[in-house]
Amino acid sequence: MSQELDDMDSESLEVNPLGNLELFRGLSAAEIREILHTGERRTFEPGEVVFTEGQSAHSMFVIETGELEVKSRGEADEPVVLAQLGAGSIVGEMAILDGFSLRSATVAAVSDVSAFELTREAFTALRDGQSHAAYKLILNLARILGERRRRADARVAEVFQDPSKHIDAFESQVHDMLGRLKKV
Amino acid sequence: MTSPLVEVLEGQGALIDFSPDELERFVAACNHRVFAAGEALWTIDQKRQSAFFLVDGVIERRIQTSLNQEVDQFGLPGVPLSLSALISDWEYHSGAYTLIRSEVLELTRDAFEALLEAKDPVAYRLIDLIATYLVDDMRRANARLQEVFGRPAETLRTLRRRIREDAKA
Repeated sequence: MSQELDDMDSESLEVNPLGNLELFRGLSAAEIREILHTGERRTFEPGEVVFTEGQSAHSMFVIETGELEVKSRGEADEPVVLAQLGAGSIVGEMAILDGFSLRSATVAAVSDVSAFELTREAFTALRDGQSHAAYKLILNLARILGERRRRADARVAEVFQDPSKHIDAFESQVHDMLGRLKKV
Repeated sequence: MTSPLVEVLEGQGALIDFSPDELERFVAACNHRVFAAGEALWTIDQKRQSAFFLVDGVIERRIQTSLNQEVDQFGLPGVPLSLSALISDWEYHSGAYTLIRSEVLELTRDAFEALLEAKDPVAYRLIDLIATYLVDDMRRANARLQEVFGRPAETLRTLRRRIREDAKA
């Protein structure tokens, strides 16, 4: 990643897909470069696991190209797909904000994926050095997290605002779950 | 000369990592406000543009979620409230009220942005706090999601009960 960025001038960085992300909103080309220099580009093949539920979390990923799937263990211990994330999405961001945390889901590549990985260790070094870029990035992450929190609460609220609209979906889930348990 | 507010807040709560100089600049950026018992710092569904830091008194915060009402009381100097208001005016379905006469420091989003623009380390300390509290907030939201969508049998029971209650009403 570093060599590629050394070869880039400010203008080319602005058209780099990562430079347009909400994560880097308000950061200058030089500030984005400072952040990208501290991470590295990773590639994953289809089916390859990026991280596993329950593992200690030490980095976040920004998807440059390709698609990742987020899975968790359901009530009957079966894998449940929580989300599919495409280019520009961020995953595992709590790892670089929090002192210590465990991965709350398993993330695997659905297609060929190119992603930027930023470790907590590298990011903490930037924070310790009072990097203005690092703090602007945290604010952007906080905006993204806050918006996710709002959407998560809206999803929960929607279920309880009109229970009759959602009861069929939950009945069907419970029915499927009982079916799977019988098979076991 | 150290201001009385800095003396009260030095080494307290979430402000423990602020140096005396940083605390002086932080206090200078805030409005010192006094609320009578029972007054609201903010009310439910009100869009907020300020964070509050308790200096003296007791504040009760109520957060209304679809599952329940979370009620917390804060009585220690340096406790921050409504930190998310420094970055956005998201609606939180919460309210905060004084239980006794209380003194707070109010930091507006504009004042916070001015600190950040000036690259003042006080802004960085505040962003560290925002990150910590938002991660905690996100965890609680994830727990609520897990409670509803991760335990469909329990949610189904709750939905059936609510439908019965609505029918009775």
